[in-house]
Amino acid sequence: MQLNWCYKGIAENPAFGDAEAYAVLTDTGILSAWMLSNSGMALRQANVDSQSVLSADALDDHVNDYSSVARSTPYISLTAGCIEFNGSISAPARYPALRTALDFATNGGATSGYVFRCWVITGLKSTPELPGTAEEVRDLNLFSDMYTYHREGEVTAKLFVPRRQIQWVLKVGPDTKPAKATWIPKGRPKRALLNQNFVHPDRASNVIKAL
Amino acid sequence: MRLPGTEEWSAQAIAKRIAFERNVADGVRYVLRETARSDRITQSQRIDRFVASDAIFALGRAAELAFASDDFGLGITICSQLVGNQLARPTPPMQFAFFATVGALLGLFDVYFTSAGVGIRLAQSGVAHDPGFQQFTAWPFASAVDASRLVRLLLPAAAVSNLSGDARRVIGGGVESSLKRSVLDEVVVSPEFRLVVGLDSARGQMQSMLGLAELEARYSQRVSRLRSDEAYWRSLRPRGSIVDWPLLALMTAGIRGGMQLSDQIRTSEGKFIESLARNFAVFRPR
Repeated sequence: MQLNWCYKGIAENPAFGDAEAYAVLTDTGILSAWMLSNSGMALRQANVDSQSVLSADALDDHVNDYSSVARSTPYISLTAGCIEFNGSISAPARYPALRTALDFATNGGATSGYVFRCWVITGLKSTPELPGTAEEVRDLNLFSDMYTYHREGEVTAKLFVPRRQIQWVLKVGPDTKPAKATWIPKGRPKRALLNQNFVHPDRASNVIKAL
Repeated sequence: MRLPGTEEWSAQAIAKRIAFERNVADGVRYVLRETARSDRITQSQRIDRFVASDAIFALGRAAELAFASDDFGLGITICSQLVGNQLARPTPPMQFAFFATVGALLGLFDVYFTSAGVGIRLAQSGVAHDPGFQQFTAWPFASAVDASRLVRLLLPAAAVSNLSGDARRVIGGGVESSLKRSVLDEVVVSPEFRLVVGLDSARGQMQSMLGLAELEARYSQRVSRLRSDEAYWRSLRPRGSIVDWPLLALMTAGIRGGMQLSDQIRTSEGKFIESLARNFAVFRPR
């Protein structure tokens, strides 16, 4: 297993504003569309159904046909950036995660939005049916049929990203610069909101201290 | 002249995408700072060095969109912003090479080769951009691939600085160089080097033309591949550079040196770069 730092850009919209971004850190974590659309489901049923909706087919739809599953996908697109092969005589092209996150957060510079920094656990093989680990879709050795959006450097989380794995959120304006958010006290600089309950990935790594 | 394939891009969409790329060059900095802060890297100068920024390439993409849509003036403005951007000055090799090429095209920098590495200094013909500014990077020694790539990327910048003679001596064996033999062997047969040799000698004209044809074909194929990726192309997010900056620098140097390019250019993409090079050939920084 690996621990991957990732970014997530979410554009501000009527259903997702400062209050929802704040709640991601303090309450909900980052939720998939499936979790949002089934928020009223009884816990027992949600436990069963949430496991059933994870499949290789559903992941393929999420990556390659997102518009058809935008309101129901159990997956969550994060970005970790990527390097793309650019021919044997050209330098490989680097597509940074931050740019992709800002692009999504602002709808290409059209709106304000939010950039989250988080970490997830990814496996070295593809296991789209298993909750708990994210899929490193950007790795073409594992997902050669998902090359179309390779440039977005996608790491795909499942169902939700736990709030304790989200380090901070930064609100940005359409100009991609930090913007005023309701959690920033008057007169204070426009900085990221840090998650006080964040658990650093070092805690989950396999580096064991000597006793 | 517009880059073929961009005719369906609306002026509004181009303006919006250019604005995003120009903004993101600065916006990235704030997100990087938050990342560095949360990783407990606190000194701002260290942060800038620590995080090799994409800012220079974001501005490069904005300039490419302007040039591709035949707005030379806006492209020049963005290029000037690019070379004046502090974030553009960290020294990872790709950033360095791009920074040097754009500065040399604008006539602000001279890019010169030495046996130990490659440097940028203010051009004598340039205006006072940043008095005392100079930057130097040693030839990479750990990777022959990295070294030959860097040399090939910087040869055009040296050529457009009118300093290709130094480069030829370093590559061609006139002076002892810290570059490995395998690197020199690869660079000597590269189209970039053949073109540079051709710029400096009458007998090199044929080699030069062959080199130009190879680079032009490579660029044309690359743009065709980018266009075929319709979703990205339509949304003005081509999956790679749409201007071949080294080819542009070589053509600009060739035009200034009196080379007859028009008869040699075969592709519409090549004609676009030639047209852009003609603008750069007569451009003078203010």
